[in-house]
Amino acid sequence: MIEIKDLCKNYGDKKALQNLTLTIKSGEIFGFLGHNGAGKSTTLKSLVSIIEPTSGTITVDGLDLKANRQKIKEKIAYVPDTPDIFLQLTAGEYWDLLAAAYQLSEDDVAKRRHDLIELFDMGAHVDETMASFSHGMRQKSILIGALLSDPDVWILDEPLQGLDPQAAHDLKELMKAHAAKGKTVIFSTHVLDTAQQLCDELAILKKGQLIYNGSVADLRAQHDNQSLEDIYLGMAGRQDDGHLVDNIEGDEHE
Amino acid sequence: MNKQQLRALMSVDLRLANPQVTDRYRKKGKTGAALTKKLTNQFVYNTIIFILIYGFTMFMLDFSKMPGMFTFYVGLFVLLGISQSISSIYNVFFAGKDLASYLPLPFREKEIFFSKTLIVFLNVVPFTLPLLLLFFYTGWRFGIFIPLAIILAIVVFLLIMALVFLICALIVFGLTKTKLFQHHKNAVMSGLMAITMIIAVAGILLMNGSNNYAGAGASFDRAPITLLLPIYQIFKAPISLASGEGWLGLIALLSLFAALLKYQVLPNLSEQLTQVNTTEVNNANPHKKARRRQTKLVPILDAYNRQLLKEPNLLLQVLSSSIMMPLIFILTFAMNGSAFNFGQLPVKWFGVFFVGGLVFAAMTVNQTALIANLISLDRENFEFVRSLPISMKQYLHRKFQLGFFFQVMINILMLLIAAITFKMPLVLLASLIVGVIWGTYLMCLHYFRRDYRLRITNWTNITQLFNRGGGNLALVATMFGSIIIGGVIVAAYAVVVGTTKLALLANVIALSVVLIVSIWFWLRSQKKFWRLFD
Repeated sequence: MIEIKDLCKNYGDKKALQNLTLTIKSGEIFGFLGHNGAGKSTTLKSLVSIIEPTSGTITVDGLDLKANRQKIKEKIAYVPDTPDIFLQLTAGEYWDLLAAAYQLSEDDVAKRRHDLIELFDMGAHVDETMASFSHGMRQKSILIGALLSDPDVWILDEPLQGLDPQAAHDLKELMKAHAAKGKTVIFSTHVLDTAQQLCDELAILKKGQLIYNGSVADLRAQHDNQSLEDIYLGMAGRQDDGHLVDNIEGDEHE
Repeated sequence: MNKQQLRALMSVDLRLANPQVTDRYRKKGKTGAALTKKLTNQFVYNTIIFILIYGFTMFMLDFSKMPGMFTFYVGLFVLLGISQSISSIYNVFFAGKDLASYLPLPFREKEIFFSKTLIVFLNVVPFTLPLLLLFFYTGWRFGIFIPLAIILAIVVFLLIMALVFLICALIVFGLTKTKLFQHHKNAVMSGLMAITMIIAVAGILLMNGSNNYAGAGASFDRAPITLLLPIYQIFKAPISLASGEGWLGLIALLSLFAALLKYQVLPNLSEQLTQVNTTEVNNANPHKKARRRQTKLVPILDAYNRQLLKEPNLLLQVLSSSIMMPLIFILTFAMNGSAFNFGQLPVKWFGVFFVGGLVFAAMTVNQTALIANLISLDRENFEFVRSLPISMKQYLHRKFQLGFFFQVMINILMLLIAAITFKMPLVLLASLIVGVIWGTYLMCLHYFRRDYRLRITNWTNITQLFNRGGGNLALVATMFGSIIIGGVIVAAYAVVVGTTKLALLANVIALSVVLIVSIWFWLRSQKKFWRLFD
């Protein structure tokens, strides 16, 4: 279980996160929704120790993140929003690095690595440098690396971007299967359908503040079963009735 | 420290520290453990080569009678060590931009830094190991019991290596604390690497130039470098009052630098380096005045192209091939007392100087020149620009003009230095400059087209660009080829002009050949490159 309490992150005068408090239970898929700059990535990066919060606490299975960083990192695998990391390495070398980071033995990792490579159709690219890959292939390489350690907590920042439909489908199935094993999957997305399909619980952020935390079903029940898009835009969106679009495109589009 | 993790981190760092060698082995199909082994072996080969070359030379000399030569070699290898150390620190800690990527992984900070430090150390050792031999030979020649001479040599070598490393760490990591570095990382790093290189080359030239050999005794020696003499005393009489100055000096400097590093640099270093690794996305300065909005294409393209030049390794390469190499030639000739005095040469030599300018351009513009990489520096932007409704010809032309201007200015500056050094008459200087401008233009046409033909837009290290085509071998062949062939042409031309009465005829023939070749070259470049964008 992950508990986030009064988490704040300031960049100079800008408040990226304001007193975020929520609980993510083991075995659930938890989604963060919000516009660009709402604080989704900041929250995820705080969870994986990339960002040091200005104040507040994060505990994972009762352990304080700040005091037990190394131990907690061993439980977590992270898929960043831009897969442009370790581009100098081949995909195979990147997975070797990850295996060493999580101290996995050759025997532990061989079968899992083979299956993941098969699933994401990366067999022909193991010895190619990540720099030569397309966005989607880099994303697949990082997904494979993240799953090598079969992490207790799998955190993904906009994971479906750049993936082909087959890989996107496979990834969603993997996320469900991972959570079904009692492990936690946390992700951020802009795609409301994906959130609706996958999330046991979701958090909607707006300008660094939590404006909803609960299940999709509860959210829809609270809003007369409207579509998630309508509810989301009503809560987090701009209230302009399409005037700005009219200004740009004229009235013809109506 | 976990061995599995340390090995994995060192494998990554080995690749970052040696991008050129990594790229070469990758082209041969080496990856993973096989590549790591090859890269490790590279250190061993480098070390063996250095030891063999310098070991043999040093073995022939009796340093116990040559304090000047002893201090010269110490100075030489310390300078090489510092230069190598700074570029390695840049490659391992900054160029790879990997520090932020380690943050979510369960590596310990000390493992990451230890592995990087170790690789920097490994990179420097081959260049400094001859010092160990020098120390051992010197102790041995002074009659110190061999096992003791070995121990003494190792101790002093390690102290000096530590000193070199501390100096470099203080400079580089100290700089990361400054606001200037945080906002202009590439520019500061380029400047630092250039300064280090200039100091190393200038130092070696100065040491070479101090030819006032102290030949009073039987031995043939050079004047010693006073600052380094205390180290010599350590081997002359290790346990004596005279050597105390050397021991104390080394230990005091080490302690001072170590304390500075510990208390001034190390606190918060990892956070700062990680921040520097990621500042590209966060370095917007809210207090900076908003740049005036440009709507005209040409100034925008110029501003954009100028931004591309802030790549430290590229600037270092430009500095080395276009500035340092000619400068070394000029200074070497000037210092050896054999400087040519062109002051009395008559005007009939103008053709020789014009061809000399062409040859100079051929020597300095090669695959590592700015113009030869300017299109690839665009990275993915190049393909994006192709999708925009702007003329590619205009886009490339503007790029070419910038690269040509940059290159021609450097070449003219170098020739002006040569003209002053060798007292060149104005007419001949003008001819030389016209030659270098025309030669640079032709070479730029060639290398700009080559860059387009072999362009890589997904490069991760600039050395990948330098290795295109025939790689290092082609680079060396082109450089030496142009020096040798150009040298022969200029020499033959000079002999004809200087010793026969056929100067006028030779000038007419030479200029006609240049004209015909130039026209052919220009037309070919138009047909094969520029017209593609009409």
